[in-house]
Amino acid sequence: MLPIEVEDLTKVYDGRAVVDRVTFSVARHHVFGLLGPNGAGKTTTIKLLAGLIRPQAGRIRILGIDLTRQPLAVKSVIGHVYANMAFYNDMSALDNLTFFGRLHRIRGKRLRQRVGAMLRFVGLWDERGKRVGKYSQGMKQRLGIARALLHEPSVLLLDEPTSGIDVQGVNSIRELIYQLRSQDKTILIASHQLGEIELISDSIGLLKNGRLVSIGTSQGIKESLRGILYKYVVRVPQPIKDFGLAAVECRHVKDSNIVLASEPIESDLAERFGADLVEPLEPTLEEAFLWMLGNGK
Amino acid sequence: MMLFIRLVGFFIARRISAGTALSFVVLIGMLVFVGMLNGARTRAAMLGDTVQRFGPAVAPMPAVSVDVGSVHTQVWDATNLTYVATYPGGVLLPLRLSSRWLFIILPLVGLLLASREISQELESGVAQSVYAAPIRPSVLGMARVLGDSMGIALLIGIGLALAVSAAGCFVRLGFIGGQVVRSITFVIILGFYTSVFVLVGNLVSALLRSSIQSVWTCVAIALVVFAGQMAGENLFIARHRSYPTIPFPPRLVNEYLYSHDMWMTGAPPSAEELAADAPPEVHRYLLELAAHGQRLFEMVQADYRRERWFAAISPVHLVWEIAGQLLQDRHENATEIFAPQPPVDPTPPVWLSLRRAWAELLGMVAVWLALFGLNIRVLSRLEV
Repeated sequence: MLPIEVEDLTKVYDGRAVVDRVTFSVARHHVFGLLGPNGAGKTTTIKLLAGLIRPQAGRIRILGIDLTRQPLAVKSVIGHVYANMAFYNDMSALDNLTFFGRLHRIRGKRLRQRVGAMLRFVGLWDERGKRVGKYSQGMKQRLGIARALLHEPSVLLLDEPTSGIDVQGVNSIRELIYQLRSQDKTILIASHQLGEIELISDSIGLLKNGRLVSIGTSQGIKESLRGILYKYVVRVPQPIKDFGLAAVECRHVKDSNIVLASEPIESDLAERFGADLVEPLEPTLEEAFLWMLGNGK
Repeated sequence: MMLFIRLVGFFIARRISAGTALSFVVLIGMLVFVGMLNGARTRAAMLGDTVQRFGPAVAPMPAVSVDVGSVHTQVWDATNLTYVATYPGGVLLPLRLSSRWLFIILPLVGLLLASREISQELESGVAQSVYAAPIRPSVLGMARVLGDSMGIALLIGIGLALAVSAAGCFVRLGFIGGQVVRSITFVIILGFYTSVFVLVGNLVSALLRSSIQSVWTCVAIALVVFAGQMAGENLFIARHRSYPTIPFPPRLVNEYLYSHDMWMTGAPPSAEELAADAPPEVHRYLLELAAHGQRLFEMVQADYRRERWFAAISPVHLVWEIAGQLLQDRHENATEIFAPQPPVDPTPPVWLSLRRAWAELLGMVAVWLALFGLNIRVLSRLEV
C-alpha cells in the first residue's frame, strides 16, 4: 500500500483538461516534487489530492483509502499547505490553530498540547497572541505548516510553500521541510522553483499543460536526456549568433557561450572555434525541464 | 454533534466580534430610539389631531385606518384616547412603529453581512484550510448559516434592548407585564426574518465567489425587494375600495356624551351601553353608529381575508403583521373595529398572538427552509 496513488486523474474546466490523465505514486517516507510552469496543473492536482475539488475521472488513494468514497477519512490523514496561506486575520495564531484543531476533532488537553508543540516547532510560540492579520507572509506560511501538522498527518501536500515570501522566510520554510522529511512523512511538494525541488525531492514529476511529461529522480530525468539534449560551453568572449541548426539555444554568459543542442555538434563547434575552447557539459535539471517544456516531449 | 455546536458557537462569536457588528447595533439602536421618540410624538399628535378634527365631538366615532393588503387594518376610535393608551400600549408602540423600517433595514444588513462571508474566505484562501478539514461541507455550511443567523439575531436584540431602555427612560415608558416576553419573541422573529436574507447573501456569495460582485448583487436584491414592496403597495392602493362614512353626531348627542359619567369611570362603555338609557335621538344615532361600525368591520374583515396572502410574500407586511400581533397589550383581531373597550386583564398569551400571524410565520418558515436547503446543497458542492 503506497501513501499516494494517483491513476488517470482528470479535471476539466470550461472544456479544457487542466489535469489530463495524470498517473503517479509516491513511496512511503519519500518526497515527490511536482514541477511545472504556471498553469501546468500543479495546484489543481494538489487540490484534487486534498479533496478540495472533485475530478471528472481517475482515482486517488491515500494510504490505500479511496478519496472519492471516503473523503473525510482521507482528509484526516493529510496535511495541506498552499501558497499565500490565509487564516482568520482578526484572530490570534493560537485561536486559529485551536479552531482548526477542533475541526480535526482534537480536543481538550491534547489540543492544547498539539497547538503549543506546533507553534514552537514553527517558531511562532512567542507570537501566539498576535493577530494573524499582523503576521508577515513568511510567518503565515510557517503557521500554515503548523496547521497542517496539528493532527499528525502521514501525508503532506505542499503547494508552492515558499511562494511570495522573502529570502529569510524561504530559508526558514525550507528548514522546516527538511525537518519534516526526517520525521518520516510522505511529502508531495509542488513548485516551479527547480532548485528547491531538486534539493529536497526523492523523485520528480514534470507537468506540462496538465499532463505528466516525465517522472523519475532528478538524476534519472537528466540521464533520460542523454542522446536527446547536448550541452557545450564555448569559451569565446563574443556572443555566438549562428550556432548551427541542431542547436536549441545559445546563452552568452560573461566570456563564454552556453549552447544547447538536440544533436551532438561538438565537432562543428570545435572546427569553428577551436577544440580547446569547446567543452561538453551535462545539462542541469532546469535545462532538462525547459527543454522538455519547450519541445513537447 | 459536539463539533457542530462548537462550530455554531464559533460563527456566532465571529459575527458578534466583527467590526461591522458594532455599527449594526448602533444602527438598529438609533432606529428604534428615533422610533421611540416618534412614538411619543405621534401620541401627542393624535391627541391634537383629534381635537382639531372633531372639536367638541366626543362620540366614539369609528375611523378607518387601512394599510395596503389590510393586513394590519384596524378601525379605531379617533375621538377616544383609550386606543392610543392601550393598543398597542407603553413601550411596545415605538417598537411597532420602528418595525416598518426594520423590514428594509434588516434585509439590507443581513444581505450585506452575509454577502462577503463565503466569497471572502474563497478569495483570501481561508476556505482551503477550512474545507481541508475532515468535516462534511454540509455540516460546515449548516453551522455557518445557523451561527450567522443567531449572531445577527443577538445583535438585533442588543440594539433593540439598548435603544428601548434608553428611549424608555427618555419618554418615561417602561416594560410592564408580558411586554418583555412579547418584545423578546418579536426580536427572535426579527432575527429569523433577517436570517432569511443571510441565507440569500450566503447563497449569492457562494455562487459568485467574488466579494465585490456579491455585495453589489445583494444591494440590487435589497433594492428589488424595496421596489417590489413599493410597487405592490401602490397597486393595492390603486384598486382599494373606499369605506362608507357616517355624519358627525348632532349637538344633542355631544351634550349627552359630555354629561355622561363614563368619563368618571375607568373604561368607556360600548355604543350599545351608551345608547341604553339615552334620549331617543341620541339612542338612534348611537345605534346607527354601532351598525355603521359593524358594517365597516365586515368590509374590512372581507378585504383582510382576500388580501392577506400579500403579507406572506411582502416583507413589510409580514413584519408589520407580526409586530401588530405581538407588540400590543390587548389582543385585537387585526380587522376589529375599535370602539371603547375595557382593558383586557390578563394580557392574552403570546402564543395566541403568534397563532393570529400564522400565515406570515408559515410563509417565512417555508422560505427559510427552502433557502436553507439550497444553501446546504450549494455549500456541499462548493469547490475551493
